Amino acid sequence: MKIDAILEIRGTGVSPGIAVGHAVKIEREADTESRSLFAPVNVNAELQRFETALKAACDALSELCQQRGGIPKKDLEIFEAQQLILEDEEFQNSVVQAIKEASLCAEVAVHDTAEKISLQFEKMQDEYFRQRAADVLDVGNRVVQILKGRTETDWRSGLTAQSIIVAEDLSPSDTVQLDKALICGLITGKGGKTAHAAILARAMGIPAVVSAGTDIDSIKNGDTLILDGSAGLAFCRPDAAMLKEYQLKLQECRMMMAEKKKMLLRLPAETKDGLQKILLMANIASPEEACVAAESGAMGIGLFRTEFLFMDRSEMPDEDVQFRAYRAAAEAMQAAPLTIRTLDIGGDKGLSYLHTEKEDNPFLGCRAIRLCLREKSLFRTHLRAILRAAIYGNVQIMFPMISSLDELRAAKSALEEAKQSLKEDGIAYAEHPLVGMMVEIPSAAIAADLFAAEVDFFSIGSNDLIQYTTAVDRMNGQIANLYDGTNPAVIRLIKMTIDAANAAKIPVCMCGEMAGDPAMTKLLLGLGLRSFSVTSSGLLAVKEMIRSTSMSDACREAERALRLPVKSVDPSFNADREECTT
Amino acid sequence: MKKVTAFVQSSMGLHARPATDFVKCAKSFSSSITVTHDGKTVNGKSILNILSLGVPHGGEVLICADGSDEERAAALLASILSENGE
Repeated sequence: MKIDAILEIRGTGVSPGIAVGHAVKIEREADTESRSLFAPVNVNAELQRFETALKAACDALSELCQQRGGIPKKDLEIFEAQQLILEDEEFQNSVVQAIKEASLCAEVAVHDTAEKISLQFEKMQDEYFRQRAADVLDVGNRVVQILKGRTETDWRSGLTAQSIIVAEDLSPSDTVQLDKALICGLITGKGGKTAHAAILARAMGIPAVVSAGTDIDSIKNGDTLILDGSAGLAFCRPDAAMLKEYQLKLQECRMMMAEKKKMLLRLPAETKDGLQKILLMANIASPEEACVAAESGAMGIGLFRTEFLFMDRSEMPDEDVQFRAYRAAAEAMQAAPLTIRTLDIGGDKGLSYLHTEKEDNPFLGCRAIRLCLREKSLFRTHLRAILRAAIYGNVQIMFPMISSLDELRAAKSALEEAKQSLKEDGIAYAEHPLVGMMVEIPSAAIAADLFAAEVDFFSIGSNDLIQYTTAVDRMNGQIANLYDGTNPAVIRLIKMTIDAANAAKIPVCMCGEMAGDPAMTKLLLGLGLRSFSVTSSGLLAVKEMIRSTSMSDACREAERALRLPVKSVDPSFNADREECTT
Repeated sequence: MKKVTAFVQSSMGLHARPATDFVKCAKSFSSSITVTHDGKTVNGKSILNILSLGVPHGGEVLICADGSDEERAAALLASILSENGE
């Protein structure tokens, strides 16, 4: 083997997977070229040119904001931010000033302004904000290209199948316009994990390595290239043996991924030893998501958040609007259960048309069921819509934020009143949908046996249960490390709730974020949980975990967790800290 | 003039996405908007200014709205920062 001929390049893997292809180098023309345009100018004409180019750049960006090629909408929002940079007074004034006072041509004025602003970002401490320098330069470059009358697709015409992009740095707009059918990987000299190029590469599923340094200069156009986005490695000009090895790996990877997904979808959610069958359901926030949930293998909806209908509008959605939405979800799920949670709003999430009072402690205030029991007509309309929709599927009703038996009873009698009023109006409704409650307040968990006697099912809301048990506002960054689902007190409350449900022979599910965290699956199984409700995209990961867990291990883990914290449930806290220190 | 103190809840701080929402919202009001963080005060309608503050997760900001719609502007802008963007 001619090992010495192979160039090994080390960088940071930011998007996993293996790619084998040929190098396509993108070289930006030197910035100094625009200096050649340094000549006396007609100030008014340059201002006019700048304005026209600005508008064209803005239009191009709004086009980029449109959904394309399966990239999640949130990953395209960076172009909205770039649009705002274009429109930014500071940016525009600074360019105009440069044209007027220094008599610069528009190209140079834009280029210099973008560079000046990006330098300010590069000086910032936080890695994330430093990366924004790239966005400012990207915006500036876009305008300069338009001023020069160039289209930006020049290098794209050189692409053929199995291209691996090699570049010093990729702007977000470069990355989003990469054609996934032709490009199988990308490697850059600069960039970091939080650069938008990295985020977009992950979203598009293209293996990517960044910060490979100056080694990439030795890659020539057309060189055969192997990219390992998981290990952060690249091999340039590999020999036949190595090429074969990686092509095999690539094939295996592809087959495994596709097969695994397909198989997992079909396989039952049962523990490794076959002892326990688990009910896997999905959390949704709109009727459209019900179809996605069913396709992702959800056996029902454990939590249908109804808030979406009430937000972003100036008045209450009327009964028919609500009815149609709930009915659509019920029909999409057919016979599978659809658990509709009644309105969980108030406190910090006020509705403009409700005129809620400002509270000192909104999370301990008039929210969810407490608000609904006060706003009687709102609640009646809401319940009537749910009862009517319940005809069209297997609808269950769930009350959030129950803290006392009186509240539960009041909610249940409001439901009976809603039925009565529908009967009087001669409108069809389901007579006996199952009625359950969220267990998310310690008082409900501690007295779970009392509540279990009066409901058809429990659903544990882990987010609030952790927050209220540990007295930690999970949104407060200063104490985020105390927000810990593995606090033995929280684990004990979960156990008490599950035990009370089992004793009363009613089902118990968990629908909080804890249920969707694969690192918690084993523990929850050990505590006796047999029903999980998680976001559709997280279903397979939890199922995989269930299938690799044996009940004896799970019980041991639970036994330990009741005494000792296992690990922090909120990885974002630690991740944030890490990023700040790099 | 209406002043409101808010804390940035987005897990990555006041980064591009929440800053975009914030500036778009700020621009919809006629009141002048300023944002102060760590002793630095900037124009709330400029995304470059807002990003340049580099407000981390949990960071405290003071929003000042001055004008005919200052009440609504301050309240709405504070609520945008209090959303957990990711």
